[in-house]
Amino acid sequence: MRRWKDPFPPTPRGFHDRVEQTLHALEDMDRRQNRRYKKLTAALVAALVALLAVGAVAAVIGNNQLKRELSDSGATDMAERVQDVHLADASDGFGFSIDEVAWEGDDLYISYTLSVPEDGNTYLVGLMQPRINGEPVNYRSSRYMDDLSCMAAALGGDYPATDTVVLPVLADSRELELKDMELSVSAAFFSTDRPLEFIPDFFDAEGEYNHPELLVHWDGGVIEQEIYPSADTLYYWWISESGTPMIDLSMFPEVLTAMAAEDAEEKGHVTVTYDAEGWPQTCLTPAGLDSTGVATLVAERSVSLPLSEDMVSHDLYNGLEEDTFRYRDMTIVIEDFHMTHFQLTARIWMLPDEGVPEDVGADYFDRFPGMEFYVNGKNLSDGFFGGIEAMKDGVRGYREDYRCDDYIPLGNLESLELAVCHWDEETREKIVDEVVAELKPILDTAAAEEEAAALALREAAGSWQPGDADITVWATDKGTYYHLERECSGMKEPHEWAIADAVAAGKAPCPACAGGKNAPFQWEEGEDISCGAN
Amino acid sequence: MLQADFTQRVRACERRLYRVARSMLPRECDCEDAVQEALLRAWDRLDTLREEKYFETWLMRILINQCRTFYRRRPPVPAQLTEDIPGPDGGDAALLDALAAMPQKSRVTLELHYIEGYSVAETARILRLPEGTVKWRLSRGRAQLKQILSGREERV
Repeated sequence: MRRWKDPFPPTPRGFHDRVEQTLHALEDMDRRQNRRYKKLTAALVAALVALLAVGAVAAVIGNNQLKRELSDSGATDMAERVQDVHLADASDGFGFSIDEVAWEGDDLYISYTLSVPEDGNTYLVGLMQPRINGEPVNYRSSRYMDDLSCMAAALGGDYPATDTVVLPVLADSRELELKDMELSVSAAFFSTDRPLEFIPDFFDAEGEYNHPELLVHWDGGVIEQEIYPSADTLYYWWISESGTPMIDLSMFPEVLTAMAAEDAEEKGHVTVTYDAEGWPQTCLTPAGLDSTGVATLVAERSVSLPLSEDMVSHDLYNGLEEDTFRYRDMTIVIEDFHMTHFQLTARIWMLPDEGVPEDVGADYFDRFPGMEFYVNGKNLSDGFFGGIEAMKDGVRGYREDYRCDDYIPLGNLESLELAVCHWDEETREKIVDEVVAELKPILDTAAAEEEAAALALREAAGSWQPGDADITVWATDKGTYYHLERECSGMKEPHEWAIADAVAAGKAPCPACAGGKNAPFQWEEGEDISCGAN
Repeated sequence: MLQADFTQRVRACERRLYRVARSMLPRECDCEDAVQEALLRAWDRLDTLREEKYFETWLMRILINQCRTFYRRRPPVPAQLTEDIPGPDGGDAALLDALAAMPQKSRVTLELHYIEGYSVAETARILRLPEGTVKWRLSRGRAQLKQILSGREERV
């Protein structure tokens, strides 16, 4: 990547002054650490009470969607490890069930089924953001009512009354403390009087609108947002693989207005949540969609799945037997190679023999070819084309951070190749120009064993009682917690303790590293809470 | 993170904060309001930042969300009311104008990657988009920008 010259004018004095004023104002503000926790606790208790009241019943609908998809892709070994769950919350014809689960690396896959009454009516169904122990988690799906996609599925009437979907959730099995953990997912069901109308070829191959006559700019709302001029009809252009129409709610002015209202969060029409890295996300709530008049909330269903170590599989490939290759006049280096049944990630360096001159335009980097991984001769989906200029060991080169999320048949791995390819403009398919290298990935059995051992140690430390085997832990003299990791939570001058002494001194296991149960951070002025509790 | 660290890190990226806000909001007064709201929100939500190394991209994400909120509440005045008002001195007015003429999605993606220097992965993290989408927007954005700039040259 070549950085462009800064085209912006100098930072105005007013902007600088406002930043400074705001920073000074922070001195007078209270940090609201504890208040947030209390709110979270209240929400968690409410959710658990609701779950107990509803009761999780055995699934009325069984399916093997995840197993089928894995088997169809050749990943039969992973298909065999998929666990049947069949937890459901169903009544009055509205049902939501989690049917299967598989977990490897940071991919937690579930399949779920939605069902509506077969009464001739069409219902809209929105899925709420999944949570683990009340905390929102990342996911890869377009079927959420969030501020980016805001999708609802249409079920019943002229369309299928049930829909089964595989949902990948981002949850790192190697980092999560698996004791007393549960994944909660919920769905909201809506009735609507508005007819549905399919718009074929809504987008062209380039992603441009084929039907601009259906769209208007919403000048009271979202930037550049193009929406339907009429909300009398629920237009849709996307039909899922299972035959379910997907309605993009963010195309309707009523929904945009509800989500953009200043008091939307106060009214409970949206929720603003933060993922594991702190990114905010705005989601339309069932009450929020209900308030728009587009649809009426008729039911909510929720299922909670206890997570356990026996769901996790450990067939991880880390590294390659050989990671440096020649391709024409450049050296190819593959770093950080990682492969599971659900993903392949790697960093690919392209280092020309002649080096990369410093003063080159962005076009210069177009000469670097697109690289893709092929497993058993099949191109993995969702790989990258393009990368950025970067320095490697003092040498300027070109770097691609490659990631694909696809089912990978590790149990039937015959070949793994890195190939140069290009897009065919007409067919929009990738064409292999040349195989650069045949790769030999290294199965990291040691890592799997280490992970299991570390997990066992955390569990032992978290539930230690007098008479159990001794464990050496780290703690400060005045700290609340004992730790397995010396660096955890930025302890100042920790020293080793026998766990019996630490427990006798009233210390509890650290929730971050020693298997302790989640606890509120009792933040005090001047204390560093950035990565745990001392 | 203590307040002194927070203050120091905000000051270190003030220029970036301005450019990101300015690329999304045409009015300077809105940029000022948005950055104030973003800083207050970031401070209030600091406990949600799990890793300090992500502070800057995390803050940018909050600012972008805040700018979107401002834009929704206060859509920009029509261009003809502002075009005679001279802008501040300095910078590359032609490139800035061309960027301003682009769709917001492409503009912000280009700005974060090519001007702020965030990697594709970091840009994706800030915009909460798949990296493939960011690459698509970069590719499309470059083409759009080229078209805008070449169109202007032809007219000249």
